[in-house]
Amino acid sequence: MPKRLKNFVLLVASLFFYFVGEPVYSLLMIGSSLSGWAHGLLIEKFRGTKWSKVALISSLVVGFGLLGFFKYSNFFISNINNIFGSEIGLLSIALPIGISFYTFQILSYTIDLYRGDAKVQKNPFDFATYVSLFPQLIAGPIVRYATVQDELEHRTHSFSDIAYGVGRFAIGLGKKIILSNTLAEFGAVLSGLSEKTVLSYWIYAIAFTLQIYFDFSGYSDMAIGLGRVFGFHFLENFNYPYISKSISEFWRRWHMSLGTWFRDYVYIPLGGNRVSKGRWVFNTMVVWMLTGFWHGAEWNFIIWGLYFGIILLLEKFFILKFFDKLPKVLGSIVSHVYTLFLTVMGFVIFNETSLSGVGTAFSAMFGGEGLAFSNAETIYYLRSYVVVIIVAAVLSTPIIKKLGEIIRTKSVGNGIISVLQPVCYIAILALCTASLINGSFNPFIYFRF
Amino acid sequence: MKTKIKNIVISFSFLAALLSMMIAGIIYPDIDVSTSERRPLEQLPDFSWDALVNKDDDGDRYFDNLEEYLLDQFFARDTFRGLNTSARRYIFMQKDIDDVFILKDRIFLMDYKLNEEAIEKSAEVYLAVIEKYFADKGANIYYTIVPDKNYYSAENNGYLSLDYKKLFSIMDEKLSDKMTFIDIRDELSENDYYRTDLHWDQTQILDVANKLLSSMGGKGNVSIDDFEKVVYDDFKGSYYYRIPNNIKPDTLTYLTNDIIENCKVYDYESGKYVPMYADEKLGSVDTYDVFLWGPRSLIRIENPNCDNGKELVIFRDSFGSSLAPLLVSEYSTITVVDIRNSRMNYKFLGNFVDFSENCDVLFMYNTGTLNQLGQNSIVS
Repeated sequence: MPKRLKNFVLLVASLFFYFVGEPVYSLLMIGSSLSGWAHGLLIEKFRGTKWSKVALISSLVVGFGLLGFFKYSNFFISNINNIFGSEIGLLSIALPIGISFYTFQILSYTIDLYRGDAKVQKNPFDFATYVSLFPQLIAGPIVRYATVQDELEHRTHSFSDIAYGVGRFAIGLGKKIILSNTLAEFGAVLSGLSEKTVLSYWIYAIAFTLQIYFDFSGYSDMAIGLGRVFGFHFLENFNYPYISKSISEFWRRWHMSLGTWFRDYVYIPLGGNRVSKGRWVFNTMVVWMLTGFWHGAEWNFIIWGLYFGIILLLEKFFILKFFDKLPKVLGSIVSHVYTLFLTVMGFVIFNETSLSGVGTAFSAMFGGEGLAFSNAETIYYLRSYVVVIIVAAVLSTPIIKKLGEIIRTKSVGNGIISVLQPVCYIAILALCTASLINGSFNPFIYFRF
Repeated sequence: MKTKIKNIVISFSFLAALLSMMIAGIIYPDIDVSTSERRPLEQLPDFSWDALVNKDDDGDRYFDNLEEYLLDQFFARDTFRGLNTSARRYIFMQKDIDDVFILKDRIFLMDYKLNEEAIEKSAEVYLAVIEKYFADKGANIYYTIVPDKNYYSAENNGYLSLDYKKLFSIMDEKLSDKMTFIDIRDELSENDYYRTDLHWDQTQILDVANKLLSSMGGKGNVSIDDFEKVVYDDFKGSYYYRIPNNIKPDTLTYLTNDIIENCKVYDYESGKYVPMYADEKLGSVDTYDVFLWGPRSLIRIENPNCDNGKELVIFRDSFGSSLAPLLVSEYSTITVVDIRNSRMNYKFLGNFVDFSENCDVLFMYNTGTLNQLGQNSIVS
């Protein structure tokens, strides 16, 4: 297929994909793309003059302005009303799906272009193709323009890429439909227990921790896989975060495209760590507050971000030094348990829809609500879902991957895996189809992003 | 080379799977009703610009409805549903699937959250009925509680079940001063219920009938030998459709004899005399409605072969419909009433019937009915 037609077909397909889910806001996405493209032209045209910077600032104002209006208006209005007792009416606007992702992608382009880290894209259709690429449009990863700028114009296709992409897509779909949705169903069951217990709160927190990983990394796998089928090489977004031995490491393995975005476009411009200690603490907290706020216009997301900011500072100053002094095995165990504990606590904050809900959950988990430790209902559902919890926990580590690599070192093993791999993909796709057809629980947890 | 072949196989297999499913979906004709799920399937939504951009009353746009249609009409839908259930049961070893569980060849619905308020209100309705219609009639008033089949199977097999002790205790506290409780729990076992349905099997409840009759002052000597059997072999009960399964359908048998066939059964809803058993319901989606025409609000059974002048008034749900024919030999008249909200508010009952002096009155609802508030509840 000619290059021009390739991008055009992909663009039309992507716009249709978005239109199916979000017909009204399709124009907003197209408008945002055109704005990014036009600002890019201006930045390039006035390169070397102050007007280039003006164009960059204009692109930031438009991008953050739209994001702020659609995503954060009601948050600010509610808080103003609460603080000043005013009665400003809330705006009746829905949050456009994926706006946080595509806005950050567009801004990565204009910023990188201004810095000279990306080439200008003169073709509006090619730029719109980049912004609207359906594999990653609504749930990430945040693909930076510089990553795919060459492939937008010159990408190749091979059976090797297609096979890899199909496999990666199947794995991602399986993570989302088979594991994450089942864990979500478990969570819904636990939320609806007639009598909650301390144990049910803990299981709920652990199940959600696994659910969000398989959901989010599943979408990333699907995006990376589909991208590869179409000839794009997106960067990895998750790297087994739950094997981390510190929160610092966790964030190097979790939603890496978001972490690097904030690092490159907020943290480093603020001065990074090449500043005074006080300023560095400030920079860190600003970045993590914004990281939390990006996830949703609620106070619990801000607190979630600040929570990690504080932990990262404590790690830098004290905790990691303490771990280093422990004997190797003990240090490894303690640091792993510590990281998992804080991660689970973090997702309790993340998962609640109000601050009072966060307080109640923490209180219940540590015996503050006067609940029984357990009861027959909790044990029954724990037994009913224990296999999926164990499977999910194992698959959240690289154990299976490592096992596969070991087996592949033998020629017989390699042959067996070569046969088993396609069979597994087909089985996963069949199970996912079965689950979707059955109308099983299928939540979309990014609606607040 | 081997890797290259593998890559080609994977690539084309994926493409073939997508295309074949798409083509099968196009060729395969749309189905109106799913017999395995007992529900109408979504049909192709009408396209319009308004439907495309605006939400309908259900909050769905055109593509939402289209997605539902495509899922409902998916090729080999039932096979995929079965696969989903098997995966959840045998891979993830989930104990129940959406509250439905299977023990050997029996299907159960897990209903374990006791609604104490509903139980109390049910008892209060019993008392209100007595006060309104039977206060000065010298009536002999009884109640029994029909245990659902989980009573005999759920807890023993590690499943959650109602706190039956509490349920019976609430009813006892509220009613013991006003009516006599007839305990039928020992007259039943798991095997007395259909494998694929919530109801009991009429051929298995003669002990229940005799216990009730004898407790109400009758002889209570009804025997299976007194009846002829009419058999329907393909009874797929309401649970059968809740979960894909390979379980053999039940055999529904109803008992009849000359006494039953000579009874005059008057249905107040249709204003007609009808047979005791509705043969036309056999094979329908509500086959159990064969007993006294299902959930009718008010039926009067007159037995010309019994001249003792005794009248029995039964306030009942569908369990009572299959029981009433077994009691008819000892009464001249049986009036069968359903006072669940969806059928008849008890306050209006007096507009239709006048109960005789010294009649026997039996309240019999099953535990599931007592435990539910809302449309199907007896709570007014």
